[in-house]
Amino acid sequence: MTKLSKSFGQKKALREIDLTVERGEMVALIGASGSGKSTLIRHIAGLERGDRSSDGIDIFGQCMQKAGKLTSDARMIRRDVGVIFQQFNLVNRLPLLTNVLIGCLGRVPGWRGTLGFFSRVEQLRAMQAIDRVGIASAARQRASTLSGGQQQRAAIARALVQGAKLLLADEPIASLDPASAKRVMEALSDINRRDGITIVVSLHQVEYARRYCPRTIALRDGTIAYDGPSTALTNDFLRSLYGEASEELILPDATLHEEPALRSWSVGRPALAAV
Amino acid sequence: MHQTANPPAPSVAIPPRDWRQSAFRYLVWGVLVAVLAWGFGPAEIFRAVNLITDADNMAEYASGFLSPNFRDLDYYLSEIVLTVQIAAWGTALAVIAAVPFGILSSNNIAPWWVYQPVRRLMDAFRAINELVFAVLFVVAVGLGPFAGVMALFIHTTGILAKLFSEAVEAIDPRPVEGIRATGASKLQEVVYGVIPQVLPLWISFSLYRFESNVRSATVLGLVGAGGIGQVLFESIRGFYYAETAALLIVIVLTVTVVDLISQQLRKLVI
Repeated sequence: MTKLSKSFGQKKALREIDLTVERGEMVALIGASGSGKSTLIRHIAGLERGDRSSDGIDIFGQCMQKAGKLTSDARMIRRDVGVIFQQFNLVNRLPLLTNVLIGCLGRVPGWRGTLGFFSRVEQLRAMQAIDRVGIASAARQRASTLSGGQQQRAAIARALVQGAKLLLADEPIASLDPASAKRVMEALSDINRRDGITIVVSLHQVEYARRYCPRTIALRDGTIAYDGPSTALTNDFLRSLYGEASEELILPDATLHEEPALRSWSVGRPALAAV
Repeated sequence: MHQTANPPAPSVAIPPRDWRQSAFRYLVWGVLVAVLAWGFGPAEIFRAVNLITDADNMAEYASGFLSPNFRDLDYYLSEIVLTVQIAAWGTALAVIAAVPFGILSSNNIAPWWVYQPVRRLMDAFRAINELVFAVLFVVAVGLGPFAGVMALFIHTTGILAKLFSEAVEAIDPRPVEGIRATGASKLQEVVYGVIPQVLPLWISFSLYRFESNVRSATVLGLVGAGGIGQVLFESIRGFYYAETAALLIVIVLTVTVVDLISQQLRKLVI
């Protein structure tokens, strides 16, 4: 059971948000710029601390932060929580393989990780993850030489190696072109279905939420404006929810939203073809 | 552009200068002149006329340098090699020490109660000249090159720690956050997130300090801390102009060669 319940008394960013996500769900977090999507995700990941008046955030039954303080277990819990960022947050000068191996750091003995001695098994595991997201041929290249979409898939591979049970993605496709965005979203939805990893993904455009996530949570001014099935989020409903601000949430091409919320996932292994 | 004749009478006036700006300008120049005038007597600038009145002496002195004496070239070469060796060791030890000190004096890595004291210690290392450290170490460890190595080591540690920490403070924090999110320890965040980002700059700074240390090492011998400075000092003291000239040529050539090589290396890493 994944349980993230949190309340904030914070003035603007997040206002007393109570939220529970079940294990194995794939949840979209939508909202206009400044509605608190990133802040919420950064709090769940334990990268920010809530207000003193907040209750706390529990992840898999363990307390990550309580009353604005990270618990002493926070580092342990972070191992189970993978985070994917809008700007990928890879170390540009390190090879792709090393970047993905960084995912092991929370699990291998401290001295070994610090000195960079990764076992053959760990390296193989990293390679499998890289292969799964379809960029195996670039394993020895520096991360900076990869395209945006490849970098984001490398970040997903890092989270896979980490063995995360919960994956938080903070606008993972906001800085990608549509084709790369689609590939990244498919990679996320693939690991959600095949590995049962819980995914919370913040999205700027509601089309992707409708297409890949059964459940959507819509944020407005730091509060939850909607929480329910993505199919119910019609453009008209969004307009009534956000008024003028809804413009930026709806993709101009209307062809996407005609499709059902979830395609039938008959696509097998090569769901993630190499570029 | 070509200006046509007789521009129309201007309809705008030139705005008057702000009096505070002008006053400030006069103040800056006034202070500068006052400082120099204050030092005129104590610094014996009035003796500048001696440069002309004693020109004959100078010419005689300079002519001594015109015929450098390379008879002891082997000796000079072995001394200049020793000088470079002192600089290499002093720099290498300083680089090793500056890595932890540099990271600990970065305000985005260490809390203030760590970086403030470390920075003040590094200030002290930098504030004291190599030559002064050399004198101190000659007393502590005796005459010879090791005192020179230690002097360069301490002084360069202070400089490199500051340069290193400035590089660390300018890093992109996002990769570090990405690593933190995997459950890595603080040390691992530094090893994987910070060091790869600053390494090219660090190498460049280290090479630059090696160049500077070769220059500094040529005078360490003046206080008995080894290297070619000792020979230079003796030959100047003994009025051996020809030998002094030869030594200066050797030093200039060596410093130039070291600078050129290290410049090329720095270009490689950036």
